[in-house]
Amino acid sequence: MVLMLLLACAPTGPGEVVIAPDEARNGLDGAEGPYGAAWLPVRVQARVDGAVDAEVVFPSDADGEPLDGPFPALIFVQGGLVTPERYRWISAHAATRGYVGISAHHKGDLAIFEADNGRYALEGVEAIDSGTLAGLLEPGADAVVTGHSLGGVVAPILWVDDPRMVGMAIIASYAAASTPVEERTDSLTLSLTGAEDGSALREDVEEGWERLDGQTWLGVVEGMNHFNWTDDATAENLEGDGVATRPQEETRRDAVRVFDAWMDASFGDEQALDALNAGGFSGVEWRQ
Amino acid sequence: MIGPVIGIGLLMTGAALADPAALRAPTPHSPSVSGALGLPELSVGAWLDSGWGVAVEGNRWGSAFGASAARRWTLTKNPERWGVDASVAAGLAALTLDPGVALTVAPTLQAGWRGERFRAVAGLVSPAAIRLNGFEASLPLVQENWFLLRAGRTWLGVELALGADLVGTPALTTQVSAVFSVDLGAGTGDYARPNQPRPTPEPRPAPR
Repeated sequence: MVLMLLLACAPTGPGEVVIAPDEARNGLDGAEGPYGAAWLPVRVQARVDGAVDAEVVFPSDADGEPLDGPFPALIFVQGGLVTPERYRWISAHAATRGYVGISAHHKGDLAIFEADNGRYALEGVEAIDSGTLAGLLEPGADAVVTGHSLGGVVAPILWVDDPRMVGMAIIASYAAASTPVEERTDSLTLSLTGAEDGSALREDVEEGWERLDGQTWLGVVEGMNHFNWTDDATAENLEGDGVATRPQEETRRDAVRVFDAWMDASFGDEQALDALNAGGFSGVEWRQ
Repeated sequence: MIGPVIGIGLLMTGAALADPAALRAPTPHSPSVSGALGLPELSVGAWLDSGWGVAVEGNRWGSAFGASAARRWTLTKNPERWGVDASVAAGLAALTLDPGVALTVAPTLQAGWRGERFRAVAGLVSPAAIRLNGFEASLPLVQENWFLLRAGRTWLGVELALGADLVGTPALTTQVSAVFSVDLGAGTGDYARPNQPRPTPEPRPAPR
């Protein structure tokens, strides 16, 4: 049994392919990149004798074998009562562009109860030295963090005191008043929301964004609602949401175009930083 | 919203621990074997006649398993079976996912009704763990409640616990367990009234 647990810590074998590689894709303008994306579950030690489960989405070949790393990491924090699987498309998109997406599970799918899980998952994956995930991340390297809805409340908690987090994006949400986001000015921050979001009201999102300091941008995606960000939105989800006025494929493409620029810029891509400062993203109302 | 959130939290598995919870089951203060089998923690322990106990423990993830020794004391009691008890358990746990060793310490304070057929006890426990290879600490403060019914020499019941790990960003700790305990001793309860000497009957007058 102990051996099985150790293997659970260091998964072996290929991941499940989410997106097949395609050299014809260039990863620009919101498109997927040329790499494949595959995922594996992982369990890591946390809080001394506890554990955190997470899913890791990584750049892969067509068989789900990881490409040679290390790659920069994106921590994604799930929204309230929405499973990490429903956000896998975001991490998979990032993986095709050469990032490793890490989504920790949280008790009751409520990240606020275990705000540190994303950090434990990152450090746990970094420490893996055998099996499929070994070498995907460089221990102690820079990372970025983002989260949707309740995850957008937790992402600033992970970011605000951790100098490793060189970028933070809040999706359809805003930081809690108790999180001192004003105190950190040395990294790139983004608030991204949908114009038709019925859960995170626009005035609240804007007010939350105004608390961010340093280089920061606010993007409002036209026609996008709260659950356009998740796969498999239920009727109950949509009941309290606004009505999306554009196809999900279009709103997501416009959103990830901005998201990609923010990620690339956070890791030092000057061209992406110029794009953020220039604005002019299609289908996105822009403030900086 | 708060109500459902707490409800969901109580039903979900928690963030800890290798914790000898079985030794906190409010069983009679006599030799007994107890188990607290739940989410996320699993433990089996035995109280010896001397007030010392031993336990083995782990959790559902298999991220840690260990062994503990414990001592318990009755601080106050009264004839109505209300009382306050304290215990301390300490031991070592093996960490499996990120291999290492942790020192575990669980001081406990409990108060409640310890009847002969039903027991309802509330307590505070801090099942702390300190990693010995590469310092890291976990310090939860947990409120736990025990409800046990007696069936012969066996006690059956539940443990419900809710708390927070206070190291770093606070994290919710929950525990839901099925509890059993087999009383190996007299089974008369902890706070039984001392036996009163029966009054000596008056000698009957001799028949005339």
